[in-house]
Amino acid sequence: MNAEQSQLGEQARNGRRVLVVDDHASFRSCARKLLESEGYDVVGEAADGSSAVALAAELEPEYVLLDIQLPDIDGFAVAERMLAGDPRLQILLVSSRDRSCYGTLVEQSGAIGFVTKGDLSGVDLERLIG
Amino acid sequence: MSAAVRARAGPAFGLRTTSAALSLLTAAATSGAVYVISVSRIAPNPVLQSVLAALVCLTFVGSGLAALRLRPYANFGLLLAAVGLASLVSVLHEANGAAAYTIGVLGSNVVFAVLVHALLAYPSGRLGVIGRRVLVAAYVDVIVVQALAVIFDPLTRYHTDHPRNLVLIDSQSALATGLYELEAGIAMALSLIVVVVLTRGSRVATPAARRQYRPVVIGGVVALLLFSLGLVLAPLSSKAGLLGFGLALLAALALPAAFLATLVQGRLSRGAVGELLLELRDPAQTGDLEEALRRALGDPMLRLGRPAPDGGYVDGSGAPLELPVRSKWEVATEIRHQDEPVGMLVHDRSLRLRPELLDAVNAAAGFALANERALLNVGLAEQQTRALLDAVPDTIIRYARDGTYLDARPDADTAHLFRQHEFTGENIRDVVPDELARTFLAGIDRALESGSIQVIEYELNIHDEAHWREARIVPSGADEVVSIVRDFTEKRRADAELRRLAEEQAALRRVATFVAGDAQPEQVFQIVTEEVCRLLGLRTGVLHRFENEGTSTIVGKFGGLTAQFELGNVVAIEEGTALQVLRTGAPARSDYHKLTGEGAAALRALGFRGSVGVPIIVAGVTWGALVVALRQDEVLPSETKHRLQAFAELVALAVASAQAREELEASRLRIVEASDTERRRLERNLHDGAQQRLVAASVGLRLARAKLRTSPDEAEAVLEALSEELAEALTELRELAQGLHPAVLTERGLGPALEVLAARAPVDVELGLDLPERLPEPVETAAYYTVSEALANIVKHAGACSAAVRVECEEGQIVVEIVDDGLGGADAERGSGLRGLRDRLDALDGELLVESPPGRGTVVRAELPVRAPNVAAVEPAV
Repeated sequence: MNAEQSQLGEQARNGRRVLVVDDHASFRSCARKLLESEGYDVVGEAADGSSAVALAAELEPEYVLLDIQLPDIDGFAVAERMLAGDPRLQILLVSSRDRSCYGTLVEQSGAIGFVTKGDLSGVDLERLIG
Repeated sequence: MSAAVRARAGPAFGLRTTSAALSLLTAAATSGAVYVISVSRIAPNPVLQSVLAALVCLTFVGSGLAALRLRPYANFGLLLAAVGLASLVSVLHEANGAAAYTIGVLGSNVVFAVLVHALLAYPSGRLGVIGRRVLVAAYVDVIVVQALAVIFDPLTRYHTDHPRNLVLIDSQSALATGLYELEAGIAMALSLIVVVVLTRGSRVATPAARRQYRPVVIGGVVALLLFSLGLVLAPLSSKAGLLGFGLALLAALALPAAFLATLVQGRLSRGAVGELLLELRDPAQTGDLEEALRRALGDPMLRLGRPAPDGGYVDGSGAPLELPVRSKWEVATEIRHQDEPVGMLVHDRSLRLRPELLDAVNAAAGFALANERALLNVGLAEQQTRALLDAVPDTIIRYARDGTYLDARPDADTAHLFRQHEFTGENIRDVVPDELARTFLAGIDRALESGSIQVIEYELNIHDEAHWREARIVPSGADEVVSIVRDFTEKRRADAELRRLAEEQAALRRVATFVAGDAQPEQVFQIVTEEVCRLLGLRTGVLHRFENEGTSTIVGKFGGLTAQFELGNVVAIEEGTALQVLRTGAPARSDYHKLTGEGAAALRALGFRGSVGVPIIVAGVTWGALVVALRQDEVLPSETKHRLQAFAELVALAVASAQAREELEASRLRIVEASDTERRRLERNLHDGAQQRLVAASVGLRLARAKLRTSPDEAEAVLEALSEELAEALTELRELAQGLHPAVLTERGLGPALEVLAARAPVDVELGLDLPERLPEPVETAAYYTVSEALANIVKHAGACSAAVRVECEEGQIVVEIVDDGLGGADAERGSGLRGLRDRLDALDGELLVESPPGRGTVVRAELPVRAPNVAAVEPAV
């Protein structure tokens, strides 16, 4: 986990492109501000799974901050579709729920990591992305 | 002998002593008289005189002795004997000695007075007042006047050489003759008086008395008159006097002769008793017993009394018999038989003088009356027996040992049989079926041999209908029996009906127990079909469940039918019983020979002739039909439809119960689903609302902290936004909590909670509340959510401007009604909210009604009991 976070932080400092996917506008706004304050380039925001997949294909971000609970399809399915289009994509799953709620789904999703929304901060992101 | 007769007193001394003394005296006196005459010097004709004297004396004494033996005539007998002995005194008139001669002259006429005495005292021997006076006069006449004459009579007119008159005082023939004539005149006068007395007594007496009087009175009167005549003639001429005396004595013989004749007549009357007995022996000839007794006793006035039921006696016409009281002519004699009074005779007093006759007739009458009474009793007994037999509704037949009918009294059922046949004289073998005849003959034999009642039960076809009968055979003679036959078909039918009812009740109970258990409806259908067929004694039955579009599913089956009628098969409902039941909702019956469908033809081919079915009605709808099929050889039991109906009702109950169970399970499921949905909604709301805001706040705080030193303005802006975010989160949480359960409902009750609800509603709500302070919590909660859901629907769907909420408590239930002026057209079954409400109300035994005609607003009305039994708090489902 620490290796993942440090990798993300390292790339962010170099103006890495990030796509934020969450159905709550307030969270998206906070996340953009937080990421941008840490030096990331938030290239786009998506409020549901389908538009997120479409935006990822269009914007070709390097990182995706992806909420698991979305109105249409859940984050795991979104991750699967995104990775199917671009296997190099670095996806970080977020949720307001605890990781234990999802069991092994996180590992099986192909995402680089999972972080609860309450714990989301620039430091954590850096550590995760590394 | 009757009491009245027995009461009569006999002579004071012994009969034998008296008779013996009298006989000796007579023998001595007669011998003496004959001696006196035979040695007499003056007797003109000693032989004739001796014979005459002996004849007269012995005749009277003999009659007297005969009368002595008959007690009523005892005194009269003594008087007769006295007459005989007195007649001998005159014999001394021929004596050779002066003393004897003088005594003979003095006492020669005493016999007249004794004769008068005997006549006046006849027949009892007692004298009346006149009789006594006449008698005294007679004795004075023949003793005193005679003596007066004798003392002056020289006694020269009979014999010249007669002995000396010892009492001669003075020989004055003229005076003597005058005195003799006086004596004769007095005697004549007394004789006439006696004649009058006797004649009068004879005339006024009863016929029976007259018959006794007449010979004696005639004989006596003739004797007296001749004697008087002799007395009159004697002074005139000795020859004429002697002739007169001789004739008088001869005439006097008429008296004993008449008396003896009377006695003989008595003997003859006793012969009449014999005739009476013969007459009574043949009751057919008896005619009137009273008349027969009159003939026998010679008393045409006799009356016969029979004992009256209330005591006393009644005559032949039934009128009370008047008994004589101190009657001179009539007396009553009780008729007894075997020491029991059986009647009363009122008869002539004179018959008491013939006690033997009276006793014999009395005894004969006693026999006759006892016999008559016995016959009457037999008649009464026969009448009672006949009445008893008439009261018995059974057939009563007398049989000879060989089975010949001797007599028959049929009951109502068999009267026609007895009219058809002349049974008497026929044999049972020729009348009833052979087997039954053999059974009867065996029963008759057993009854005669054992002497005890034999009971036979048998079946007899009467009017083409089987009758069960019971014959009780009782010996009624050496070679005959009486059979009392009772028809117990009705009882047997009643017993069978009772058994049938018991079986039906048992079957119904089994099915009901099954229904009440946890049995699946399919099992109930099958069991009902089987039980019904067994109970009705039929081999085939089917239970249809009607489906849509003219089909039915076979859910119960008993016995073999065509292949399509297998359990679970869906069959087309052809013309027939099931279709009629479906159409009419009422019991129906079909005759397969009148039906044209293929199914009916197939069933006909299988040997069925028809069917009967009843509907199974569940919640007012014809759910199915219970149908039993009849084979050619099967008879439709009585009340089949009615009996099928009872089972059909159990099926309906089972179906309704199953439906209710399903509905309950569905309701429970909906409650659980509603609860789950609500939890999901809550989780979602928390997650999407407050939680997201708190997450944003958390992230924002980190951002602000990061900016605090490097960029305080940004940090401040972030914190400002965070403050708004937290305020929003707080509001959302408060609303969420309110949605979970309104606090005001818990704390203040239904009224205040509804006021809050109405105030918060975005439409105008008019509240009409009529409630007690608090209601049971489940009731308040259900009522609150009814209003809450209805208002929510109004806001969401109705497009209404206003609503009216009325909540009232009436007759133990609470009524909640929400009316709006919106679009209407709401469907209570489709909306999950209303369905949830319905479930909640169902759980409280309540009811939800929704009326929502399109364009005319909606009325939601909930009714639920205030004290709902076993109410369990139900979590809100809306």
